[in-house]
Amino acid sequence: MNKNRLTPYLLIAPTFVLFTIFFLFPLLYSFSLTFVEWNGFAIDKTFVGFSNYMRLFGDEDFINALKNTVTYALLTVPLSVSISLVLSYILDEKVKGFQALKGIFFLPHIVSLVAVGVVWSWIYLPDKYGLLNVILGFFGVEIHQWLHDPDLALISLVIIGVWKSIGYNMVIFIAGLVAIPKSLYEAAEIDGAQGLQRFVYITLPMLKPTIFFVMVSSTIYSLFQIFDIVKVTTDGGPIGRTEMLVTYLYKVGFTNYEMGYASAIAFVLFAITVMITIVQKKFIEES
Amino acid sequence: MKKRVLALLLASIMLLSLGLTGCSNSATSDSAAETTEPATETNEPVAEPAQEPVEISFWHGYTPEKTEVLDEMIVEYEAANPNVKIEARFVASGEEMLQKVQAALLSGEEPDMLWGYPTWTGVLASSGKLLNLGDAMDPEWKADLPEGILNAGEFEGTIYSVPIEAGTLYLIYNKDMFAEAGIENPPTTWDELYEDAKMLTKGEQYGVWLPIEPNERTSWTWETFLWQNKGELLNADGTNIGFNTPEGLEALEFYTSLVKDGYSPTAIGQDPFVDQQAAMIYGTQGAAKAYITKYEMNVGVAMLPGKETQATALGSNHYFMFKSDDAVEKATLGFMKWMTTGDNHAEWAIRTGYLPVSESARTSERYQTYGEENPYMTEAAKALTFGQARPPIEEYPKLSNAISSTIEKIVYGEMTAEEGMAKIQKEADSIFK
Repeated sequence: MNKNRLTPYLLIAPTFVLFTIFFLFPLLYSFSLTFVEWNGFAIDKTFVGFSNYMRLFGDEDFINALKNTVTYALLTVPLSVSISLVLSYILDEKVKGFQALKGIFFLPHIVSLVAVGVVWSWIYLPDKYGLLNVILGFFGVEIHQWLHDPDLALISLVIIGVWKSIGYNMVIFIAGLVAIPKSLYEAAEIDGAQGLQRFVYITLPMLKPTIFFVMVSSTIYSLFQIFDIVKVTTDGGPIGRTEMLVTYLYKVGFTNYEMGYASAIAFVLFAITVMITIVQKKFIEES
Repeated sequence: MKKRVLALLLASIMLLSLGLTGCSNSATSDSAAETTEPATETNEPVAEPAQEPVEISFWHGYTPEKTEVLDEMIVEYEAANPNVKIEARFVASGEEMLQKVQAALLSGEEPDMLWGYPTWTGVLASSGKLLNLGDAMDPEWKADLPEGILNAGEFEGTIYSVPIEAGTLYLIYNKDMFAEAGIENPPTTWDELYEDAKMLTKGEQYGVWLPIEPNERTSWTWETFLWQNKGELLNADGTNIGFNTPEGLEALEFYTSLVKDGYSPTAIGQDPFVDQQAAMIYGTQGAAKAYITKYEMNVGVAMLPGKETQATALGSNHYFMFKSDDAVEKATLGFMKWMTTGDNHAEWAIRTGYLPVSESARTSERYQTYGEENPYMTEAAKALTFGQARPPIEEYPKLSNAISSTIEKIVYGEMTAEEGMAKIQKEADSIFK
């Protein structure tokens, strides 16, 4: 009997040991850093209590980064979700070359973010040096700068973000579409429903859980994991217009070497993520 | 029952293997410690040269071409010193190296020898693991190095590094574009710079390129303007900035006005000089060498235009040494001296395009002939005498960040130069608290 009780613990032990060493311990250690002032090199850390957290409220750069991150998410998520939904609905209607198209749309998702960033930063080069400007110039549209224009930089990043995430979202949507019983559409056809009506009254309601999942996952993704692309293309510029929370905390930690303050930012980020996850769980359980 | 026993067995095997890999790691590091410890102890009683060669780990951030030169020189050194083995490794370039070193220091895996920027001295020294090189170097070696460059590696009265390469910013200009605009000579004063830049600007071509992105290159370039206007980066006792003065403000205004008035681009392609986007740039002799030899452009070089005085920014790369046992420290010191002095150093400078730092290398016959064949190098060496180094203080990275991000904001019209100066002062007050 005793032995039986021990078995499950032994079974999870390997994973748990790894989890403790590589996740739990660093997490607690990082949390302890939020109360100190430390450059990451010095032998001694200075205890400063909650002052790292207090500093956040007066830090204009932090507030700017938070604002940019939220703006980016608010632009990227609806755009990406609606475009991929429409595209997958069209593709599901058995377009010629359906498989090939699916592959093409999915391609950006599997390319490394750094490579994507480098390629796009070339596309966005200013004046006559950038591919995009050359193409637009052919149609008579004259835009001189993308990533260097304070008003266009964030939009440029949104375009990359949407382009990158459409493929992944589409795969999930297509899976959701397949699961909708065909009999519903047949019944609707008999009742005389047109294309658009079928989409609004059958597809959308049936797809609600999938849409919700995609929305939440891409929100979290664009809020907290937007790092590589920004680092490679704009590095937060110009004048901080594309500074995101994650890139900002990286700069605080590894350019200014303020480990304590950077950890505090990380924990605020962590708290927001946990809150969103709780909300997400609640919604999923209800539906 | 059988299944359960099997599961138990599997789980315990996995746990064991985890423990074993952990053990094996510590076992190897233990044995490593054992072999090095007696080595230092037996050094004294046994006078014979050590049988096992001393291994030095050396981290650098050189480009592939320079790494090739370095590797060749290491082979040469090892042939002359068979008891030394140098493990040179490219780890990261530029500022990213510091992040790697930070991680290495925390886990006790730091290299014996490190190539890097003197601006890192403050943070590196705070680890307590940096060796006091000022004490370790012999007087003859020290005298061979110019005081200004040697002191760039000084922090709180201690010299922590040996300079290996130097570079200065000077004016690189496109002779063809100058001829086209009808300008004969490169500008020598700020006024001339402004006028020439204006004349050279047309369409998508700009007169000059002054960087405005929030990074060290921007701060570095701007600091030359500050020094030319007889401003100082820090106040006399180094407790705050020293450029919140009319001179400092003038430098900030002039620098940003060239961009705001449209004579310097706010956004650049891959390389504004190669792309002929800008007719003049503030660059190093390394860049000039590339434009001349690699891109075969019609390039002229000159001293930076001055104002109250002639001044340029002095950049140097340094060797740091982390504390280790005596044998390794001695061997590392020997290699450093070999690289930084005499003919070897001249060869290094010639083949990599850096300016040599030591007197013995500069006066060597080899370098003299090289200088005659490549006048743009002599011009850079001349600029070196007007060079000012950035202070190797712990606060410098943050200060630099405050300067460059403010320059960017002024250029984009977010604030005036006065407001910018107030912003830098406010940030400096919290940096130097």
